[in-house]
Amino acid sequence: MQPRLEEESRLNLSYRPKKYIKKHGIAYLFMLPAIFFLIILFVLPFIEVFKMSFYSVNLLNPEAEAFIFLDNFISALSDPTFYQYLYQGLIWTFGSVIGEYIVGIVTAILLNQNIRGKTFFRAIIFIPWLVPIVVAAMTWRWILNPDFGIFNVMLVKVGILDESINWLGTAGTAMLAVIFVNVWRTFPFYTVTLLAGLQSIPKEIIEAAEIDGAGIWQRFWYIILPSLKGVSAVIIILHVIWTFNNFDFIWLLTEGGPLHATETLAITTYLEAFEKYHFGQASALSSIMILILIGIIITYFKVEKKQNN
Amino acid sequence: MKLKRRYSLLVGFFLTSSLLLSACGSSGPSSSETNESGTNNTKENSVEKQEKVVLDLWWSMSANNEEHKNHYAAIEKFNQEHPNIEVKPQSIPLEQAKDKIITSANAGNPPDVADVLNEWLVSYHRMGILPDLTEDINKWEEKEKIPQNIWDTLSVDGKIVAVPSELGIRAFLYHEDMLKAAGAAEPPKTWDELLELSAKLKGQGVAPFGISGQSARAPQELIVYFWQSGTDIAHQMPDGKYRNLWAENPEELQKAVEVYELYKTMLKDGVINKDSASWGYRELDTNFAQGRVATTVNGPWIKNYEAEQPESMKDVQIAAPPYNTVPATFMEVGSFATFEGSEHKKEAITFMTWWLSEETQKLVNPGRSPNTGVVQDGKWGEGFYKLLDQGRSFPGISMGGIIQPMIDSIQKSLLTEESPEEIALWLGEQINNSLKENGELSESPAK
Repeated sequence: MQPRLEEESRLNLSYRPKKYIKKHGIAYLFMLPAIFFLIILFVLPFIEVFKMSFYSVNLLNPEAEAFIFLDNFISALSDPTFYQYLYQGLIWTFGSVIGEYIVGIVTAILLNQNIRGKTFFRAIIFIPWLVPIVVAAMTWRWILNPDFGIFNVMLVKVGILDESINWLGTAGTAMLAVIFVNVWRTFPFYTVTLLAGLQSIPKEIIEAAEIDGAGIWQRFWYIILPSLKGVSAVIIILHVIWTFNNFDFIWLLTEGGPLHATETLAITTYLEAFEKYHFGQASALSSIMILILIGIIITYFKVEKKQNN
Repeated sequence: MKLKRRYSLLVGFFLTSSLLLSACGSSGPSSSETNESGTNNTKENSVEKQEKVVLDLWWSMSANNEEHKNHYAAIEKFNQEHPNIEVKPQSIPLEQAKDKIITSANAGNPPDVADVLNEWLVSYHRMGILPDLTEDINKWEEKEKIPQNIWDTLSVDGKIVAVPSELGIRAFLYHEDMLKAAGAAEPPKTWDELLELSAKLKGQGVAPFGISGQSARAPQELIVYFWQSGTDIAHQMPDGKYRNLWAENPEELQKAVEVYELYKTMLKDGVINKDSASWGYRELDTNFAQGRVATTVNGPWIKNYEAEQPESMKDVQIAAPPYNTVPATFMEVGSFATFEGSEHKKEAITFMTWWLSEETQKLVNPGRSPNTGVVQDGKWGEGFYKLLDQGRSFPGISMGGIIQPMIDSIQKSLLTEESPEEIALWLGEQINNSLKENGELSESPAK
């Protein structure tokens, strides 16, 4: 915005409140219900969680409730398992998001080609995203089952494996397996979003690059990928938040096991709250998770700003 | 002028919406006070409507499940027999029910009746959300038809806090044909006999014995092994509180060590499937029903697989679980509870005791009833019921912080090189930590 316009805008706001209200009042009025629900459903619970994180709250021992300031945070951060679950949470989050992005962009590019039946393919590719999480998780538990799961049977028949692997039940493979299943379920969201982005790239630019001798890889790297930067940033940030906070998918597949190999901070928080009933400690963990996410997002924007400069 | 009209319209819209919403939200009796012609109803009608109590029931029965049809039919029967009470069931899986009950009860809006597991009861009691039902149950004419150890399971600090609705005693289930083929005349009575039998069964290409390594079933199996070995996860001390004694009493520790030695031996010798650490109840039940596991310790619900797997289920027989030094088995008591905060506790108790009555149990639980008047003949009824005297449940402590360490201890014994003694001591420490956090740890010296 030009400085003169900014100044005008400021003046409009400062000196003509009546005119401003007359112009925008209706918009605020329509926003009121949304703001009301936002406050009730998000802001107030968040404040309550933040407040509770400074208290010792154990539902099984209500008499012991007391203000303990930072003790919950100190206790969480001084527990070595916290760093193990944080690390596993980051592996789960970035492994999933990177995998989803790669599969999503490849399928989006394929579906952007002029092939016969592309409408059909665009419709069916969305199916994994539509399957309810519980159904998807239960189905994959059976598919990956070491005794009669089809995944192992196929790999053994093809000769890739000598004997079946307990993908979800072995500490070394469980995280890989849950990330794989999560990528399978979520990549259609990337495909559809990136496909919309791809369709907005003018064909002339790509054709011009082709005439100038740019190969497939160069066209992808120097034209397509930069054009998708905006939409990519949005879906990546959203999915980093969703995946880092995700509880149900890992829980349904492995319950955080075997031996905590797939436990993330989201699962630890659930266990603290609903298995041990330590709501103070669980609130502190939630607050730490929010701070970590804010840190990741600020870092992302800073890096992006630096690159743009 | 246009803007004014718009604001008037908006205000009108909000007012109308509020009125509509408040009309929808109003209770039955007040909305029914006026009849179609706009005049007041008769006094009798009004009183009748106002007295009708709606009981919200959260339970795990699904209306779409063929096995639960009788349960829904029973609800209809109750509603017909009690014109002033209407039970409204809502299907909620047990896995979700525990958290939902805690959240709603602590928010002051619990269901009137809910399906609960006995391992949740102590925690709920400590939270102060379960009312004392002792007085009402003592007045109930069929109380004596329920065995005392079932009432004990549903009592906390000497108070009855739930009413049994069904019974799931665990027994040793085996495929008789497989045992015959292995040359075994009868099922094993002890752990040693189980291991001997397993060596013979291995040649048949099936897992000789089936266990759970995760989910709710795993700690239920583990605690039975402790009982069968003569120890427990927590002992009640003279001060009435509890403590795990393995770290301070070598004799007790040895008994716990023997349990983890059993797990390790079973894995090493191929008695159990190599992937048992990740088996939940679904994997265990399915594998046994399909005949991929020769023997297991399981509940009467396995009968439901007869329809799906008639061939592999037809040779299943039932016996007492093999033990180390003390015969014992797990007694899972499904129960109904009402909650502090419910405005209809009296009606809830009427419903719960009606459900447990001999007449209703014959309809809903002919083979799994806690009511002694309803024992069904045959292996699925009497076969389990005769193990009732051996039946035990979790000790009277909050299990929330203990269940997961118990599962971890099984997985440690199956997936790591840690010694049985290390695992037992680790679990003992976790149990005492949990007891301490919840104010349940005894400071009395061990005898």
